[in-house]
Amino acid sequence: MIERVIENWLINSTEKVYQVPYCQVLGIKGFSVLQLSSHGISEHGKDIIARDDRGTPCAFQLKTGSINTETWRAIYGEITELIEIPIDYPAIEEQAHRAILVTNGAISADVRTKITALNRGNRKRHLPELEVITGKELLADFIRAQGSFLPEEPQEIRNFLRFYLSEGNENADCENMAIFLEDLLLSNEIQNPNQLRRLICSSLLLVSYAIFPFTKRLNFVATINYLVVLGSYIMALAEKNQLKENFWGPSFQLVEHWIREQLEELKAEVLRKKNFLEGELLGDGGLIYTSRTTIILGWLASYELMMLFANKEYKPDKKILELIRNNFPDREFLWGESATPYFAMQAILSLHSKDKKLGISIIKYLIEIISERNNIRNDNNIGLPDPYYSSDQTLASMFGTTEKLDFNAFIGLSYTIKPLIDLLVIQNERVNLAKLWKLISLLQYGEFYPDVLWKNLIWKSTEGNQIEKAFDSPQSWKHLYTEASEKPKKIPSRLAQKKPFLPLFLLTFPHRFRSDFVKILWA
Amino acid sequence: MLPDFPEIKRKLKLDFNKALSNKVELDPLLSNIRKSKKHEGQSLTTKTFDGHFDKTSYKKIGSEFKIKIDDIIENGYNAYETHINEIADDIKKQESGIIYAKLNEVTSKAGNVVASNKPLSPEIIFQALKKMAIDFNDDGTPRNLTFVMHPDQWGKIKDLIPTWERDPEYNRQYNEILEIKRKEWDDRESNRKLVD
Repeated sequence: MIERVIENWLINSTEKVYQVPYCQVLGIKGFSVLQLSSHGISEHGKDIIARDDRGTPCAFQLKTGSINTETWRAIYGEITELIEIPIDYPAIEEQAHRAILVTNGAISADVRTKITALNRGNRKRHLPELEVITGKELLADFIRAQGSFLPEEPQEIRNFLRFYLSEGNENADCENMAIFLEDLLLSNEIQNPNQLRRLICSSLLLVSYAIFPFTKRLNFVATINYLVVLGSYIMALAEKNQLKENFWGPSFQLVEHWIREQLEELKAEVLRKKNFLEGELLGDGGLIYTSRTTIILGWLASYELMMLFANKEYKPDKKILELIRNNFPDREFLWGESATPYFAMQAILSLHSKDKKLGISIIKYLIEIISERNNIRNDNNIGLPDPYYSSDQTLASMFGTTEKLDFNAFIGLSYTIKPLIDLLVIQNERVNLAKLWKLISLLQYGEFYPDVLWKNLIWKSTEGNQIEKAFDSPQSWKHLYTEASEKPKKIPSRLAQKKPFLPLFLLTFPHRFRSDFVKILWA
Repeated sequence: MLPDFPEIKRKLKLDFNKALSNKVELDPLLSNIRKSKKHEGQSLTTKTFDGHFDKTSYKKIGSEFKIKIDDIIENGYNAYETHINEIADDIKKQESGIIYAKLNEVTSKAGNVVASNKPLSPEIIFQALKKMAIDFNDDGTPRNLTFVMHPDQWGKIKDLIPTWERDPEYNRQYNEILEIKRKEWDDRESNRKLVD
């Protein structure tokens, strides 16, 4: 079955879609991938720069579909650049390189003749010969790369097909992706680092196939969500087995690259649009529209933060801050505590961008709503759902399209208020916090700590302790300040080291929006 | 396999669970206690509003019941429905048992137990009130002040209550206690603030 899936996926993919999975295949074949082009825009005809298993520098150009004489003429300039212009990459000093043209289609006999002639000439000119990998060889490579790590149990296969056969326009079902990856990555007894590395590579490939309906429809947010779940599970496996970076890092970097590309495409789409309506107009607007706006702005703010954390010189895009200013708060919606991270990222980006007024007003807004809705004296019995309930689940309940959530059950507790308080405290906003304190003091804050650190990276842990605390009465500001300034302790070390990934992780795993995680965004 | 009707049965199972949960909710004690779902872990640590710390493990609650195959064949879903009260009673009993055990543990630790071999009287109720933290509504009336007692106990005192309520001395003592409790409440409320 999996071979048919891979074949179908490969035939229907564009080079942009199969680029990252192909890098993973190269990794399995012994290549070290050094650089990937962004958005399919190759640099001097080179989409991927790598070293092969003998250390020879290689440049790959990826194409979609069959190449006939007409296509060959169209791409000839890029092919010449691929061959003739040396690789420009800091770690590569050699002038000579392998030049490889990859396509998921076939190459016509005419073009093969032309390539033979080209290579004959290149040999005389001491230039690299053009190597060609076509659809059939590519498919064989992908199938071989998958190895024996395949969904086997009926539930795993069903879960895989659930994604693969979906329409692709839905929001991500992160919980089921987590279950799929838990079965695949964490339920076996493998301890050998090399085997674990292969397992990680195979999981990246499987997820690429599974989420194809979403990548094909350019459903960026869902694709990003799924990739973040994949990244988290790769990290969980590495933490659990104390793997060294070289066993899991290359795959993780590919996931990060893919996420960054998707975020950049999302940003381009958002900046192109005059409004954020999507799909069928009947049913859109209102709470659907404001929820979508919140999600989009949360992801765009996270992208800016990711870039900033990766490069201190990065200047956050003023257009994104402008979008936040134009939409907050009237065109956004806090449907539940799973929305808190989306707002919080907008606030943190504002603070990092020196717009303290906007940042503080977003945090205050969140604290106000959470404490008004969830305080123990709220007699209207409509609490704000905890962060384990997604926007889909909450809105479906509000619109009556599924069984109604018991909104009364959420009163008395907040999972996300403590990190928000920490943010106000660390900004020295004592006066603002004091004004809100009476309502805040009427709820408990909740935090979940798994029994072992790596389980913070999985969707749900059956082992661990839930902590629910009321604030002191009266509450010492100094004590709050000390708590907010303390170094975070209970976080997986690999996640702490991958700070650019953290904002993305918190949006996808909103129930992990805990003080110690949020602090890293300030550390 | 023989033809099954899984979707219909799934819906009926949901209906059954919903009906069961509604029956459990009819219990006067349980209906007054807010329930919240814990999604992860196997234990819960709490620090309450009065600063009390507690750690507890989650306990499994369930009920077993027997239905004859012939009954299912004859009556279908209704065969289960006839057992719903029996199951609800069993679950209520288990839930209340856990709650009372926890209340006993917490009140004993805090020294808030009023034990007496005598019949329930205003004096005993006043002793209990004195040990309680009482919240008040904006209009000055006590908030959610609830006494839970065994039905037999209630049978013994329900006719006496109107007499107690008319007694000026009991009224004076009751108002005096409420006044103290109101001051304590005001103190607690004034402590809901940030200090240095």
